[in-house]
Amino acid sequence: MGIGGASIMDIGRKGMMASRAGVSTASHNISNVNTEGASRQRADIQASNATPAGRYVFGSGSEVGTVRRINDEYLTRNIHAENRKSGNYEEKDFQLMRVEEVFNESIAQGMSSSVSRLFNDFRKLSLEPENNALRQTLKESAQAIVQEFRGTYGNLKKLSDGVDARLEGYIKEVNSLAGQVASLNKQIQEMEVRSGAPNDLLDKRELILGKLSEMSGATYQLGDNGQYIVSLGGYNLVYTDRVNTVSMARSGEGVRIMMESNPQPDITDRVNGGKLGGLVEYRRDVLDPTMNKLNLIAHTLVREVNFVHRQGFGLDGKTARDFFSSDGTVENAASSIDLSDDVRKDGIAIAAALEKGSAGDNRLALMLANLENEKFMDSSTKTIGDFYNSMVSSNAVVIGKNRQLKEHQDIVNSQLKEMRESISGISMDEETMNLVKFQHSLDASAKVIKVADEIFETVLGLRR
Amino acid sequence: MVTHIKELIIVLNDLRKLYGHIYFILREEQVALQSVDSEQLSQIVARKNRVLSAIVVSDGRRQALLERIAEQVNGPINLSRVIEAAPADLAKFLRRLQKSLIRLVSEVRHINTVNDMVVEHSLENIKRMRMLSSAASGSLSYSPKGKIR
Repeated sequence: MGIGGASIMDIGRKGMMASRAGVSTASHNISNVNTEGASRQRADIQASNATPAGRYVFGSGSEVGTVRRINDEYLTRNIHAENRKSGNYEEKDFQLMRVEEVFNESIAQGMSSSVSRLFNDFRKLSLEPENNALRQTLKESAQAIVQEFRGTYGNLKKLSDGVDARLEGYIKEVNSLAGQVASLNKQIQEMEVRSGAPNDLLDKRELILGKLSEMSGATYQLGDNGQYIVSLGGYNLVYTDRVNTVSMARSGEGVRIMMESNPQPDITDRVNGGKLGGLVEYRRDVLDPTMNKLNLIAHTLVREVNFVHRQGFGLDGKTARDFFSSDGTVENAASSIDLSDDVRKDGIAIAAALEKGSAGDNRLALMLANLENEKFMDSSTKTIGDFYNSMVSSNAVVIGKNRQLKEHQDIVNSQLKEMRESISGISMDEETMNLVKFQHSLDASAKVIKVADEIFETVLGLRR
Repeated sequence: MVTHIKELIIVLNDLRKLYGHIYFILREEQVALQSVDSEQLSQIVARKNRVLSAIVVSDGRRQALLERIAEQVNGPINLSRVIEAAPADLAKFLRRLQKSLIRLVSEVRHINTVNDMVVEHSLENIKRMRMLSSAASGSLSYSPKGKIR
């Protein structure tokens, strides 16, 4: 075939089609500039096969090869991996703030000061053991402690119920997202067979995988057939176009997360990222231990005060009576603590004397006051007040550390998104040069940060 | 001693201003890190160096003044002891200054720790990205022991 009029027309037609594909891809990019998860596409225009004509080989113009997504696989995977962490820190931060509110002593009187006040009132009673007004004040202080325990435990229980409700919501969301990935896996495979790379669907699947990672900490890998396999807690959540849903079950150990496969594994302790993992870790590491410790404090207070109180005599000469009441179990101590019936009815039942009928005997009131300094808690290393304070301060450390991690994670996520946005796909050399430049700035920054920290530490000596 | 305490108040006030300044620089550093802005980051490092040098100078003056006050009160000194020894009006002022400085320094340390974590994380990330891009360009080679060069 010569390079006749028809061929020239053909070259022109191919060129126009290639150019139209380029314009159409550019329009697609512009119209999707605000679409979440949409990656830029590029029409790869390549030379058509040359046409041999006798001794010569004529070029036959250009045509569109493929429309490729300019998307850095590594960055996308990295963003999803960071999403797992940020979902986790964000959820914990949200929940920890609520624990902080429960224990924020500046809002209410606070448990710590209520316990101190009770022991102080025993001390005051020891100065005037027959004073009825002091007995009334002591009763009020004890009643305040009862309310503090019940109120604090009630608030923590509400948080715990809130965690259950949130878990339920997240599990629904995880199942819905997993279903969408499975459906997209199927659609993408069908379209790839029919008409090549379905870029918009690939973008959509990537976006949903990102959400799923953030929500559940799920990880994924590409299977042989181009379909993603999503794992949660070491089990397949999505395998090609099939989904194993996740469910919630209540047991003696509290709420558990189950994978609805055969058999049904309990994956609660294996979910360790995303919002779901954040909730599980928060409950396991902060909420449950805090509720247990509060119960232990209430139980110890009831047991020790009652033990001493039963040895003494009230103003009415009666003995062997409790000061507090509770149901006797550790796990219900903070919610069942109350004043004993005798003490609630009349302040004269409060024992201050060690011997019957000895007016002015204050020895038992002193023994009760001295309980404040007895180390009953934590293998006899802490007083009740110390134990409570260490519980509050260890929670504060967890809250502070998590806040730092969350802030750091927010910046890292924005940075990675910015990096992905800046990928032009045109010049690898230019992108590498930019990376090197940024690395140098980071190196310089890292050195100054370390020096700065040392300087700041010196100035913190002001505290002393 | 009152003269020294008054000088100490001026120095602590300078430190407070410098810490306020560095607080904003650290916030700007976070923005530069987020937006992968190398030039901005380099400028921030230079500005931070200047403010840090000023902090070191002021802190040196603070410590020298504390030593002079210590000679007059016989015994080891810290700001809380200066407050105890100061006349009421100055003590009140010093207490407020101490509180505000501690709060500010704690906040600055918090942001600095966060930025430190971000910088370390970013460096790791960039190293991995560079390794991947050199692998993609085919220039990656292995030593006989299998280490990537």
